[in-house]
Amino acid sequence: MSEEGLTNDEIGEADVEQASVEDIETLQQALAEQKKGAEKYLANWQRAQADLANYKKHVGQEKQEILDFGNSTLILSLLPVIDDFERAFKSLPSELAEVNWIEGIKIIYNNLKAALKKAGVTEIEAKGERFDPHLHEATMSQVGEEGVVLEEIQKGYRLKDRVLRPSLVVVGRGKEEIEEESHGESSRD
Amino acid sequence: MAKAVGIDLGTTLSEVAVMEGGEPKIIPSAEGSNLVPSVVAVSKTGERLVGEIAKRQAIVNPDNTIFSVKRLIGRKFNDASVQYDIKRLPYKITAAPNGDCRVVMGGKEYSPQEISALILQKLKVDAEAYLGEKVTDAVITVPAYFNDSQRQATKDAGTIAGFNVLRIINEPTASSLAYGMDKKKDETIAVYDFGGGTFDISILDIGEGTFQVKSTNGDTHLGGDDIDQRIMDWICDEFKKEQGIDLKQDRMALQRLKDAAEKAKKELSTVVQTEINLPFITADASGPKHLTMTLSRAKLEQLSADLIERSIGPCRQALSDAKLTPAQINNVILVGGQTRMPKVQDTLRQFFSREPVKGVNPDEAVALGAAIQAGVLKGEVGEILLLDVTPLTLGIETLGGVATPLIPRNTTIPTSKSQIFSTASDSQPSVEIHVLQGERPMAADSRTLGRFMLDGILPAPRGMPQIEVTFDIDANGILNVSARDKGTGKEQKITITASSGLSKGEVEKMQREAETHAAEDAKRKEETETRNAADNLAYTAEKTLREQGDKIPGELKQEIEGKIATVRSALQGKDINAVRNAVQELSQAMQKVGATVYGQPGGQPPGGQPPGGQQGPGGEEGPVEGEFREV
Repeated sequence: MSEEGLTNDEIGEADVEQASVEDIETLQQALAEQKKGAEKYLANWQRAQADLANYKKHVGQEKQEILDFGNSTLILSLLPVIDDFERAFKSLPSELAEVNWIEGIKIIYNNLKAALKKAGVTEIEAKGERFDPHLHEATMSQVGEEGVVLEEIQKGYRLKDRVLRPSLVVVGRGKEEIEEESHGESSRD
Repeated sequence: MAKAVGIDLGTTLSEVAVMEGGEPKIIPSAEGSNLVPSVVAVSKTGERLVGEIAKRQAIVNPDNTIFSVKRLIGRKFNDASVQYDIKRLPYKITAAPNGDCRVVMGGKEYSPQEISALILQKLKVDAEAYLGEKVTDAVITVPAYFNDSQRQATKDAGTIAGFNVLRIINEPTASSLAYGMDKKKDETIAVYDFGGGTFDISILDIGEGTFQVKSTNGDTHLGGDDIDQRIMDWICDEFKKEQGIDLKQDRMALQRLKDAAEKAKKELSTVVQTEINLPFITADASGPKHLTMTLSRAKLEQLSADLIERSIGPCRQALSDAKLTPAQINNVILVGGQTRMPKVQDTLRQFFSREPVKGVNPDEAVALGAAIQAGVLKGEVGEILLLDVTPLTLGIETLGGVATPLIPRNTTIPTSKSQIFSTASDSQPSVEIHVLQGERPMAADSRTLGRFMLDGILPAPRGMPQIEVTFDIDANGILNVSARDKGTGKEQKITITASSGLSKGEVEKMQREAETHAAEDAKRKEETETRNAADNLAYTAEKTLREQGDKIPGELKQEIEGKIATVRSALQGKDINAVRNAVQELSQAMQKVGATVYGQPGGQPPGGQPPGGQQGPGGEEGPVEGEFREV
């Protein structure tokens, strides 16, 4: 081995060292970038997975909701028909009351109510109860026991545990009033 | 990361929405409705009520029921509009030391911000119940004409409710977002918002995802409720003419009329005539009275013409403020339930000389847009991932030249799908996987993406080898198709990079072709299916004769053999009805075999499924959903 050669070797080694330091730095930087990228992807992936899991949960909830209450629109549109039947019977002339044919219509009405009951529809108690805005909607107030439902104007219904249509009621407002009471207060809009 | 919600805090109704699976969605309230009345009350027993429940008791508790607080928020007590509203609102409004408004509820003074906060809080609780997690971040909308103090007050209401208010945005901006207008460049749009109680028109400039309100106008006391009132008045007048009875004196009748009027109005948006039937509406000495009327769309338009016309004045003013003519508006978008009325759309079409944009539920547009904005603001933290879909169906060719789909079109990618196939004939040594793209049911009409062979299948009866074919598309649209013999483990695959190499025009052409040829394609496919089923039945019959031959009387055996021959020869021909008839005869004869074999002890069901679960004629179950054609 000559002197020159040795020197060359030394220079070469230094170069190599220099180069590998640079390489390592570049690699470390690249690695750091990759790590950062990987973390981001993992986070996004996890988020996507979580989104999907939550979405599935909601779809499940909504399916249950549809099963339980999907027919509520139909039922709501049938309730006025029940109201009409009841109005008709309420004003039934006494001479018709005993007619057998009318009896048949009453059975039809009862069958309709029974079908709704089977679907989970129940009547809300109103008259004589304490006024409860969770169940009743006040349409006017009149002299009478304060906070008590004096009269039911339209029957309210529940579908399972949910109020499908609140009862429309007249609520007592005590006895202190002096003005004319028959029409109660006018509605606001 | 917690979700951010978008809130439409309205004068009479409020709504909350959230981004779910990339789409905005209204969150239903605890009462099961999408809309929450903007009403707050303290009951006589001191209970605090919000929304529907508060509204139901308003009549009996008018002093302590606060509604329309949006008309007061951020305004001074001496403001002319506040002075105007004081006369109309039944609850007590006072002046705060700093000149702001205060409302009195349950003997206590509240700022309008606190009342709004109670509404927002209810929306928050309902949203948390729906999402199953804490919700803190929100975008809240305000009318475009709100000034700084009204915006700040609305923001404060959000903070009081426990929200971190990401941003207060304009209602018309939110609507534009819901309509996807942010993707437009350099457009001027008009947002026409005709709701239940108020009317707003806004002119917006859109550029590079930014929205600028150029002008706004409206009528704070014009809405769909006015139209309902017109219908009610008309019904009452008509009834009075016919029956001489004034229904306006009968509260019960009025309640029914109100519901009927609203229902009729809604129906007349889709039909041209509707019936209003209210039996036993009232009674006099002569007996019960029924109300039966027909309301036509033309009559409704006549009744409401001046109300709709009243919305055009503000439109004209807004345009003139923006120094624009109707023709300079690029898009007109519809917000508010009343814009469903055809007459409203006609009026706008005439005024702006262009078709108004529809497609978003006009009752929900503001809240949906707020949710989109909330999503964008949250999205800035992470990166928005754009997901693509496959534009055309991908599948393979199976017996009889049928294109059997594996991945239907519009499937979001990346995705993968595996399906088990089998051989079409006994001892078939190899299968060809012919990868197809397109909407037509036959392979010949589809585009070939590639094909390869999987060989080395061990000799076995047809239908027995299980070949698992897997389609996998990565996020870049690169399709990998592999086929694996589950028995030997032997596998072949192909990578198709050109699967998305079709231009948009080509894709549309292929979709169009599928539509135009749908009927004849269905017929051809059915014929192929009939042929496959016939072939299958003949095969099964032969097999039964082979395996159960000793149990079948010679006479019947001969009959069946004859009928198998008829099926086979019909299959050679082109007459599909001949095939059908031959199949019917053969299957009837096979039923006799069933009766004979079952009649004997230890008999096996004839014509049963061959090992591996061969698909029966027309059957849809079992692992084999298709067969490869013989190669």
